[in-house]
Amino acid sequence: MRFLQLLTKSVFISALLLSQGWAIDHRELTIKAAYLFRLSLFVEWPPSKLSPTGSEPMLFCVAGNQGMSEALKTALADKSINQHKIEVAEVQLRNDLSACHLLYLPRHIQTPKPFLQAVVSHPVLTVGETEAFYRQDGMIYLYTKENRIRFAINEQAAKKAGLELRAQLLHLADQPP
Amino acid sequence: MIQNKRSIKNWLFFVIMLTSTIVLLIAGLLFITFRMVQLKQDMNNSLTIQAGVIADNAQAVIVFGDKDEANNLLASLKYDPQVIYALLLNDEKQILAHYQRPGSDVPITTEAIGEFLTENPASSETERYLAYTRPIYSHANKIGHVILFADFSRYWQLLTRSALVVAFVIVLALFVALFLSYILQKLISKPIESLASFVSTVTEGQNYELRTENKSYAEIEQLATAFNQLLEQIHRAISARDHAQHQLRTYSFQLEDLVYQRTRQLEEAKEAAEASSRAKSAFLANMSHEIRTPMNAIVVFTKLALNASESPHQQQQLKRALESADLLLALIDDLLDISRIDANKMELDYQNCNLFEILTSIVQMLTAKFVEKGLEFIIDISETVPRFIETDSLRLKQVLINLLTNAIKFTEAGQIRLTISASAMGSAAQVTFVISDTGIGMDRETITRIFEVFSQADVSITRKYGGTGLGLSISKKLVALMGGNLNVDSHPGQGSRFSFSLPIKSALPDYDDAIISRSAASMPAVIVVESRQQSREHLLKLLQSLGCSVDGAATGNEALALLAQRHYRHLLISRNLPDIDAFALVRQIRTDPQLSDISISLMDSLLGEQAVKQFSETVTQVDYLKTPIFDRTLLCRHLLQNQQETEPQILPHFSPPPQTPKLFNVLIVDDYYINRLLIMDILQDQVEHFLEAGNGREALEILQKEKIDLVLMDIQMPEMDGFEATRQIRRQLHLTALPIIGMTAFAAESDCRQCYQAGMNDVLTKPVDIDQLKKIFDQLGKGRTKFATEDHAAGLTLSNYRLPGIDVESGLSRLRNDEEKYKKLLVLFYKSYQGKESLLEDHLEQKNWTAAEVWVHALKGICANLSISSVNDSCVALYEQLKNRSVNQQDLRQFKHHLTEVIMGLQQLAESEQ
Repeated sequence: MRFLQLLTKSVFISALLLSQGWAIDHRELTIKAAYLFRLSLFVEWPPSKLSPTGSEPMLFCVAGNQGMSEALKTALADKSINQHKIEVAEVQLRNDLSACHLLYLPRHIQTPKPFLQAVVSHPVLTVGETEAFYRQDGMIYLYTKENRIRFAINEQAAKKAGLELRAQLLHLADQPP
Repeated sequence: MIQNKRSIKNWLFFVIMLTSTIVLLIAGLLFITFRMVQLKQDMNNSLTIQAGVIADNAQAVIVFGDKDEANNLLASLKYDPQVIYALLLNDEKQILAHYQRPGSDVPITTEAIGEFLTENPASSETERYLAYTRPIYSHANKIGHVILFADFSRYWQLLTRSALVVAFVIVLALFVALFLSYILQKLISKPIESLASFVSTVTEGQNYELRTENKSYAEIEQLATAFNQLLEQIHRAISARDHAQHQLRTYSFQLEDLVYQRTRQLEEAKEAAEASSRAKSAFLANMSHEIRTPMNAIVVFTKLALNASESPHQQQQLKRALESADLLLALIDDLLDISRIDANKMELDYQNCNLFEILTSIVQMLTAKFVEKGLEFIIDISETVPRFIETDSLRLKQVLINLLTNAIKFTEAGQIRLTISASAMGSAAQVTFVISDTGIGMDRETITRIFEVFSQADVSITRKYGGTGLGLSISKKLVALMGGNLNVDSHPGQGSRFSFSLPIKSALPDYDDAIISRSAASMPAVIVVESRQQSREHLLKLLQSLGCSVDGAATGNEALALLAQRHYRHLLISRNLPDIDAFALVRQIRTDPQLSDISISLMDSLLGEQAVKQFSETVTQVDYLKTPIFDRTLLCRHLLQNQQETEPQILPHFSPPPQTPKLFNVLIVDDYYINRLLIMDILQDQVEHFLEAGNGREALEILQKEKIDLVLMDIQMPEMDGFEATRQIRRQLHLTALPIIGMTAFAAESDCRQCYQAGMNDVLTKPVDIDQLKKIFDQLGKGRTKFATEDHAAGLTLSNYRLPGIDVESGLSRLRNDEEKYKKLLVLFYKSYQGKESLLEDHLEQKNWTAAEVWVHALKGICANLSISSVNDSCVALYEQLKNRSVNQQDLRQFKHHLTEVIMGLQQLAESEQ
């Protein structure tokens, strides 16, 4: 009996540790997903891209193939913005990135340029986490400061893409360090 | 009572103010309430807006959970002072940010927050705060809440400010209201006041013609109009009243006029009636005269014929004629009396009369009838009856004679008694006369009829007793006129009793009583010899009342017996003695020397007077008392006088036999030829020559031409009547010594007086009594010589003087009516005794009794001769007293009073005789 118990416990602990490790990643993704959602709340896509009255789904594209889409999907499962259900898709450069409403370039994407060039002048909200992203006219730069996630916004880039960012969001944006 | 009258002014004022105040207060309150609501509303709105703004701006903040920014957002609430606390919550009910106004408390606890998290915006309110909660949506997702809390401080502040403003405005408005109300109330009260003052003007000035013109408000105008109408009515009423008064006055004037007219008419009618009445009176008087004159002639000529007749048969016839004539005259008199009484023309002639003289006259008239029937006549006068009474002596006589005549008529035997008594009730005395008889009496039926005119008991009685039948009715009427009532009490077979009382003013105090009562001590003892019981008892009573001691005797022998037993001073012997003749008795008594000092008086009716007098002269001295005896005074005097010794006489008694000297010229003045004839017939033996005149004027003419010895003057004549003629004779012709005898139809004493006043010596009534005329004539004849020689300037007769205490008639008659002599004697008396009134008193003071006695005795004699009766009576009394050496002071006073009175009365006479 004791042995079983011990075994179970060790399983549990290892699961926990694993999950913790897994959880930590998971958790980070969840938070990011939340931010993506939140940011989207304050962005306005042109009507050609996202009809105000319709209910076609919004496409959140995640670049890379790290398996993040599953976590993101889970995090954004039931959420919708203005009746638009959020769909998550992992994308590569080869994909038609212009169909995305939002393009998320996680940290591991070292060269955001090609992604950015692919959606330039397309109403796609680009959210990155690298400096390079921000330098290369990425629209919203997510960074951590003091253990908190902050974001900086390149308003012109958004404007060029035909996206309108709400003042409140802009107000909340920080300057990147 | 309302103590403090409410003025409409003040009331209006008050009302307006009250209304304004209330309205303003209500408005104010409403406004405040409204403001409260509004402020709350504002607060709510404000919170709503702010919450909305914050909610809209807080989406990103809440989404990203940016606390700092959240706080920044809430910080903008500081600009709203109301907000004291605010919370920003995320969808996990976590406070993202809060705001708290510095200085305020946290209004709620954390636990209570849950209530605010509603789906919809909502507000809630507590005392301390107003909370507003609003959910924040982002893309149709509720992401959080914002809750705002506001306190009421600002609310109250604002509210208070509003309230103050309101209050201020109200006060201001009230002032305005005050002012306006003051002005407005004037608008109302002014017309009312003006109306009131108008009314008081009208009432004070009583001017109802004023009208008011009040143009103000409908109601007040109504009132004013009503006033005007009222005034109109009053004015009309007053006008009507004035008009009515005026009319009334007019009517009253008219009435006065009418009354005046009527009065005038009535006066005229009355004058006409009076004239008619006077005419009737004159007619009656003339009738009386006219009827009497021929009747007079008839009677006299018949008498003359009777006198001249020698045939007994003729005498019988003439007697019958005479009787009828007498009856006719009596009837005529009665008729005239009755008609005069009934026509109220009977006037009573009230004079001061001597009752006793009246009675004497009546006795004289009726004595023959009494004696004829052998009836006793007793006159019983009570002591309280005054001697002098004011009455119509003629009428009283008429009544008494009528009643006594009836009594005699209807009494066969017994006595007739006349009782006179007096009773005094204060100032109203009355004298009662009762005539009672022992006659046939009357039954009740007869009694009721006897006073009727022309009814005697029955026809048989008329035949048996005669009479006119008018007597009793006249008597009854006369008595009624004199103020009494003639009553009768009678039963068949028991005689009758007629009585009446007359109210009489006692004319003079009866001083005789004093003498009588005083002399009681000196009254003599008397025997009354009288067979008739009633008369005897009457006399006894009379004498006893005088104070005499009396005894009665019914027969002469009884008298003699009495005389033998006692000593008497007086003897009164009646002629009616059954056993012995009165004269014989007297002779018998006189032969007795013991009875020599007795005074004897023979009592008999006047028919026997002559016989007694003759007896006295021829046989032995006796006095004569005329029956019926009723006068106490006379009796007393008689008794006392007879006690005197011989008195000194001033004048000699004159007792030669009467002669009948002839008169030469006699003037007869009468408007009737018959009357003149009559008189000439009567006097044909005594007169040499007659002259006639038909009226006064003719008489005067004759008197101027001829020397006349005597004038017989009728009174009623045309042209100049007897009075005027006599006056003229005396004054104009100065024939003061000429004897003028008047002849009048009227027997009243006033007529006689008139005659004397005119200057006549004597008066005869028609129809002229022959004997009377002859008697007067004789008297005049006796004194004629004196008349002829003396020629006196002063022609006033004694009757013109007032001589109290002097019995002028008696004195004159004593002197055979020699007035001049009488006057002379009176003057002599006056001269003798003037100033000697107190002489007696002086004698008495000196206790000079003898001198007083002698003086009084002398005076008494003189007064007796001169008929100065008052002094005489006093002297009589005093003399007795003086004899007893004690004088009663009252008598003395009375004596002096009488003497003084007489002397004063004579003074006038003496002066005129100078």
